[in-house]
Amino acid sequence: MTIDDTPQEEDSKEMAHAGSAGVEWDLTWESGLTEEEMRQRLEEWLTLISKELIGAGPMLGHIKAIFKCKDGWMRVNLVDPRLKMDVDGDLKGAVQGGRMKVMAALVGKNDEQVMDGLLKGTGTFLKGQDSNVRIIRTTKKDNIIRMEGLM
Amino acid sequence: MIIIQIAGFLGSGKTTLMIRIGKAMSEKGKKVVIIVNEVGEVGVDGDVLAQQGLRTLEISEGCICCSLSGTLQNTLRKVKQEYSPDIILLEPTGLALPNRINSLIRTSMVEPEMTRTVALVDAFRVDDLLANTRQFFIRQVEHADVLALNKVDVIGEDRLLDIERTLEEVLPDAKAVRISAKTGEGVEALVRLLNI
Repeated sequence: MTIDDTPQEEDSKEMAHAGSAGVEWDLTWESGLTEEEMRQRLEEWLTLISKELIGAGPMLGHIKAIFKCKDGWMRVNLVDPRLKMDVDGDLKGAVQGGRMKVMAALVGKNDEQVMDGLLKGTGTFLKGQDSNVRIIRTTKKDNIIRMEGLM
Repeated sequence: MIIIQIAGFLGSGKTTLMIRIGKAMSEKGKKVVIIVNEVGEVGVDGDVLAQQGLRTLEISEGCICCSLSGTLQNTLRKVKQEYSPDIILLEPTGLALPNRINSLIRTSMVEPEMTRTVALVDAFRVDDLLANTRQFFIRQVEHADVLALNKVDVIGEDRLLDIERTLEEVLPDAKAVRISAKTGEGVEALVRLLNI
């Protein structure tokens, strides 16, 4: 193995021409969701974000989410729209609320573009959902205002 | 103490492989600590690994190969001092350069008995990666001890042979193994190749 003499100040994310963003939400549903209903909703949510971010192009990156509540957790990972999403976890009973983290990182987009796609996809998802959403934090503070406008 | 770095591009299956290797080593009685790095402030992988009952430390808001290089070295020293692990499993971001991380480990004063680097290659997307981000992809995998061709469970044999030929052209010295981190196929062979 050779020693890498590249200066550490060279940013690998910039070198890859990649952007990333993440948001953390508290979610509550008016009716309790089964594990299967939760899986369907999370898959739908990530699919809508993916459509905003890449359209029909290749996904050079990934979108991933984890939902946690007192009755368990569920993780969803989307790395290519041509493949089934990876879903795992353990949720018991009727889930009425919990905390959700979503993050995306993609080559060919900057941080702002990734955040924009993440929020637009989420806005589309939330239309028609019997859910309430409260943002805990985002990777960019100014996006909180834009997100509140979607709810 | 052994340090195993599981590197690879975004979505290549690093966390899934970490869970599988971490659990297997713990079941063998090894004390395992995982250090996971996420590029953004909102980390997901640390939570996922912790839900699996694995001792996990998360470094977020930057990359341990560049902007957080000092944090990595401090964390390695802290983990060695506080936990005395047999194995540290290190998951960098999917945008990190593993060779830089190995340089940082060498100068971190933790003096591991052995350091191994696995570069995971997403077999399903390797053509897209080579077509769109070839130089970066090669820099990520070129100095790894083992090249693990992941997601072989969703690809046919003919396609796999094509991919292996392509990788041989791009990385002629690489020691490659086929795995599915999801199903566990090939993971034992990968661990044997690491000689840990």
